[in-house]
Amino acid sequence: MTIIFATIFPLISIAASIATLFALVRFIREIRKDHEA
Amino acid sequence: MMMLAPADLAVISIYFIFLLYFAYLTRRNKTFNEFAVAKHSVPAILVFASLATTIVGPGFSIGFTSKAWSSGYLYYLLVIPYAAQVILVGIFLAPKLSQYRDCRSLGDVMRKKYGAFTQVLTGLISVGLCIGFAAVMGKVGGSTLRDVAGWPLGISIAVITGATALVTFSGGLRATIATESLQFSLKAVVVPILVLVAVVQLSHPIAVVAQRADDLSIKAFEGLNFWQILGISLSFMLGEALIPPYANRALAAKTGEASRSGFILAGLFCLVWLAMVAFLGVVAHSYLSQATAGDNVFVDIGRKLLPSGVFGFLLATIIALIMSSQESVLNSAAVAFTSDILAPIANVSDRFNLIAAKVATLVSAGIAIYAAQFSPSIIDGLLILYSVWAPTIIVPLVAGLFIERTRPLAGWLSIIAGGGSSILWQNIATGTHAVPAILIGLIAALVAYAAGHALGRPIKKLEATS
Repeated sequence: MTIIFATIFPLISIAASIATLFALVRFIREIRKDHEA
Repeated sequence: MMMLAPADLAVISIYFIFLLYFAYLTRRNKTFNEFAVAKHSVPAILVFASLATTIVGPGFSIGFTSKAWSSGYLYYLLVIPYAAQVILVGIFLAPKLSQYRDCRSLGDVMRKKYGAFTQVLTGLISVGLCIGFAAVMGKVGGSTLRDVAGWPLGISIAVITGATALVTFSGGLRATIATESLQFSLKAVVVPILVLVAVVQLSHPIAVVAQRADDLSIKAFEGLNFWQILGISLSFMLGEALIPPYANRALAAKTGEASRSGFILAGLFCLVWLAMVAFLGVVAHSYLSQATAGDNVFVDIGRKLLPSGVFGFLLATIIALIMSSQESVLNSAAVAFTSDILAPIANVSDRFNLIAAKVATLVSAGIAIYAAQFSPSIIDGLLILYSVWAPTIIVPLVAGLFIERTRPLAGWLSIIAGGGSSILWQNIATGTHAVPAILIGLIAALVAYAAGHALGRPIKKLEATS
């Protein structure tokens, strides 16, 4: 359990963070487009 | 007072500049609908990120590491029902909630099922609960800022809560979701890096840490009785189920599928995150003195292992942990007040509603700042709030999502009976062997709902759609 907590889970978390950043950039672009419309 | 290196201070300043920039980018709202549910435009991944970041506030990070420092993985095992609850909500309830495309709040959904009186009751409980959450979070944030900056507690609480309110009040839910996603990205990178550094720098095999975790968990488990284990598990499982900030994300999701995926991923992430912060609490015994106070372990292990500059990212993460939970509850308090309390009693324009919601955000923050001075410790504060929410709202809400011909009597009777019995039980039954108040409240709510359903008249169509 400890080894999974300390090695695999951190990598999953970092992957989730990167995926979120990409989605966030798209979301902000949509908001900006909405504001300009 | 904590002395910070210039590099750490620079990182924290950059973080705040980024937040202000986000608030600027997302500041405009033309309608109350946009403010409350972001025009139902939120994709699955951001439903996930904003939910996950709201869930993993200071309690599920600093508090959880503190518990693991003394109890190993025991609390991790006790909190698994919580993650299961988020996943089950994702599978069964969130897609149903997101079908209510014309609803802006949980109270709106309750009105459709039980009428205006139940909506106002839901609104009052939602506003009270959200301000209570904001106060508890404000106290934690204020205490952290006091330790960093050396300011008095009252001023520190006001600075943290005031900054959160300023970021959220203009942009509404869209701004909240955008800033929360940024905060999620930060914390989901910084904490794993700290975990990996802790593993790499160990001077003994990781098996020693695993053995220590087992020893601590077994010792702590032996100190709890059946009712305490049941009470903690139930409180974690149901206490936060579909509280207003979570329900608002289900309502704001682009589609039912986005809502479902967002909740399921957030539940799974909960397991990943809590495992990491629990590991930090256990591995900290290899780095910190045994005299370290549990609540300081999260920060102290970071200070010990991370170089200056990178430690600043951890402090920014802690600020993000607090602000992200506060943003959600302040936004939800404002939406619940406007949609569930103001709108049913005063027929006002959409523009007025939008202004009222913005003002309500600031007023809620003001009340939370005042209330935070009297707030108990984080876990005690959260447990009190949990014992009010689950017995009042969960039964009529879940029943309403599945029963076609609902009865208004069942809705408000269940709320009053569940909430009343939970509060009463907390005051008369104390001690470690007492049956948990949340359980008593839930049973009372179920009985009252069944009685109301059997005796009441079905809701009229006009009442449900007005």
